[in-house]
Amino acid sequence: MAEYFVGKVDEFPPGTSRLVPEAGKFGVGVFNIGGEYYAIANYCPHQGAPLCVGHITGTTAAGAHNDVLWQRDGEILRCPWHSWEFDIKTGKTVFEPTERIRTYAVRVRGDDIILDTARSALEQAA
Amino acid sequence: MSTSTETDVRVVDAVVYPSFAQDDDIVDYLPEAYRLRGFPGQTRYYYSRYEGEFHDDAYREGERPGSNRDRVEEAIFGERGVDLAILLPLTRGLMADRRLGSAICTATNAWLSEQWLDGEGCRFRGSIRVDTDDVEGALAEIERWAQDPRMVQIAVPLEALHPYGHPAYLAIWTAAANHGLPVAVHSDGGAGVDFAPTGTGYPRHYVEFASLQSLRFFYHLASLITEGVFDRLPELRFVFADGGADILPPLMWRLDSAWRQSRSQSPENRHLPSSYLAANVRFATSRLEGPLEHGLEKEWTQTMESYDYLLYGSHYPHWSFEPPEHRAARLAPGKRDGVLGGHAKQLYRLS
Amino acid sequence: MLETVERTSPDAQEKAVTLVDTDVHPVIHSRQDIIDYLPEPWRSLDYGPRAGGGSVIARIYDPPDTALTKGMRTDSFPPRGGAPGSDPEFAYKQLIEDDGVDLAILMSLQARLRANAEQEAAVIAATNSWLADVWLGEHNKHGRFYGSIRICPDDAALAVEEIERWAGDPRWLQIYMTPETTPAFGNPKYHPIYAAAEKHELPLAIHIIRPMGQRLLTPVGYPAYFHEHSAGIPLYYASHLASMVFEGVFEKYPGLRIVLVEGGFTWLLPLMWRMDAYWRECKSEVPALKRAPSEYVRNHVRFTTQPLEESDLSAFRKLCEWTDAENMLMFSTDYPHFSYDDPKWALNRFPKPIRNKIAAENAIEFYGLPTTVSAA
Repeated sequence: MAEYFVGKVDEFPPGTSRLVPEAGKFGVGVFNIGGEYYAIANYCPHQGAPLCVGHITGTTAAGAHNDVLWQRDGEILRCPWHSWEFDIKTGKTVFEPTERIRTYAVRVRGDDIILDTARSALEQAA
Repeated sequence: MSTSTETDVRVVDAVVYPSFAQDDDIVDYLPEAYRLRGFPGQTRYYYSRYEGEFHDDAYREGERPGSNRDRVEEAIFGERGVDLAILLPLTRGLMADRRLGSAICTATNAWLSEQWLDGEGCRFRGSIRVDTDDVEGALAEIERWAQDPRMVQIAVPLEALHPYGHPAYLAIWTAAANHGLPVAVHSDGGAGVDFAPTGTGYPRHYVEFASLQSLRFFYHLASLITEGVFDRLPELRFVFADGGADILPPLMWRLDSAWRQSRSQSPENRHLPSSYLAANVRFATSRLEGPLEHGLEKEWTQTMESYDYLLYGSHYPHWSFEPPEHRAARLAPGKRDGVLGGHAKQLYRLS
Repeated sequence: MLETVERTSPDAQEKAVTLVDTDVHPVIHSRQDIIDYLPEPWRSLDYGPRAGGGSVIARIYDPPDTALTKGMRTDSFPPRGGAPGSDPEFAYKQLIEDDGVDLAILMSLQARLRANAEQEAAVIAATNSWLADVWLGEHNKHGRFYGSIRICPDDAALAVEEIERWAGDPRWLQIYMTPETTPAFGNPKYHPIYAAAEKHELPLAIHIIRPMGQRLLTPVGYPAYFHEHSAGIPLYYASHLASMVFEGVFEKYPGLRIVLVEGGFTWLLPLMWRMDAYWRECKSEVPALKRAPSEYVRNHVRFTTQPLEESDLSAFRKLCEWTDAENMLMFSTDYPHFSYDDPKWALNRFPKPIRNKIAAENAIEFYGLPTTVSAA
């Protein structure tokens, strides 16, 4: 079990993120999306960019007729280099065939947000 | 010569250019309102090969190559083992008056039907020319011929005022897809109100023009894909009849790579660009492209896989004419049947 | 009296040059950087108090989320402020220290294209002067930065003047021009430029820029999206290249060397095949050509590596072999643009035996670069 203290709950509001540079091989980014915490490796599978310093945003989808819809606001991370879009919750690219990055478990213990690099987000959810 | 039945079809020549004996022979087929109009001749105005625009064997005294049906049949079917050939008549360029352009298409289609596709056991199949700039006229022309089994595809110029994924053209492609008709794209004859043939302007020599001109397909292909035309019309098939399959892989690598970056600008394009090729895109062969070394051709085939998209086309009577045995010799054995006829049979539902 | 002896300090060590970056883009901090170098009437016209001028960075075919990224790596914004590429010290840190680049060749895209060639040439000249003083002078004590003399191709006489102004100054490795113009580069109107390049033994690089007031770059109208436009860029380079070949530029200027920068190269082999095939059967039209087109390309043209596609590795490596990438390519990052190629990733794409040539040896030979530098 590799645990890292990320921060206090009341100092880590929704829509923000923190980098834990000593976790994982390249650091781990922790994100608060709507009160839930997600963690992904700070390494883009494309060319190895520091993924988690990219900006948090949404993405587009085709609507009826000519419409371009805006979706998943706050859930998408764009790589700081070539702008690949990653779904923060799953660690997968929006485009298919997907590329993916490792996800990690994050839990709240009292007021503390704890990153657990021994478990993936999937394991935690199970 | 015995007639071939559909079930015997093995070798298909996907690109043959029939022509009017005289430029003005088309007038008889024009709608009455257009018979006194002026418009370009058949031969491409600006660029022509000094050594001759046509294949050496196609020239006959006082006769335009490609205008004599008997001679074309002999050259294509003769002793070459070709079962069917697809005629791709050229028109006169993008007309400024788009309804004049449609009139030329109407006339060309009527002439083709009457002079080239008629007769029991005819081994030619035809293309329905339409003017891309006159959507209503194009739709009417498609409706006129779509049920005629002798017409196997729509044909449009490579020259255009928008890349072909632009919404201006969508109604035409929708009609084509609804009728199960592929769309062949090929550089046109005559002289039109189009842009310079390269992004850098007008080449000063034919050889420069000729070596670049088929590459224009890629702008249309990238547009069709990124505008989501193939997502909207999964049954639509495009045939780039000038060729270009040899340069396709590196350009698609680049399009795939760029799409991963900015695909959010065009959400209608839901899938990786190169993933549309197998279902929606075909290319005619060209003698003047691809690896020059025989050995490398086979390795290229295996490595690049674009030979799954190829349809053999002779381009008779153009000077780049390639007989089927010449193409067969360049193909790895496992690819021959498909390229020489299998892919065309499937695409045009010839069996 | 002690003789003055040239001696390196005991702490300074030499290291071998193993990574040359042939495409780096410095930018100004503010318009004032250029104004000081600009003669009249352009200083008042272009930069007078009410002059519009437009923004330098074009916003047509915008890379993803340009409003935030400005088309740059978002981790390349200097901590001291300013645009990516505007801080020589930060560029040094990211390229030389972090990425292990030993030498960087600068190409300033600063001056935007203008309808008036004389005006464009004047602003370009001012930019070259700025680059010389700032990036190749004041902030180049480490000697890691080299420059490219930008010219405006649309006025050959002014271009030659600019070449003559800098030729012989060892900080400038090459000449460079943007290709968004017509006619294509084989046309005789450009030949005085090639004569000057050949005379001074300076390579001539060609590098796209995203111009304000987009000139039509395709034969079939305007693409709609960034990725659609980006994918067609190779054909744009191919058109200029074919023009130079078929107009006999390399026959006429046998000493001329060309570098195609940021246009890719995986498309080159099929282009050479078709140019050769057509030339063989249309020779009478171009009697000036004594060799096959592909031979001219191999003898006179080089390509930088970025942007490398993340395509199937096996197919890519085979293509490299058939193209003779080993001798044709020079590594580049395109720093600080968003389309930047990371050196480790990029070089690993190539078969191991040819990596060193692409990483540094080809550029060292091509540009006459030193083989060692003082360790950082």
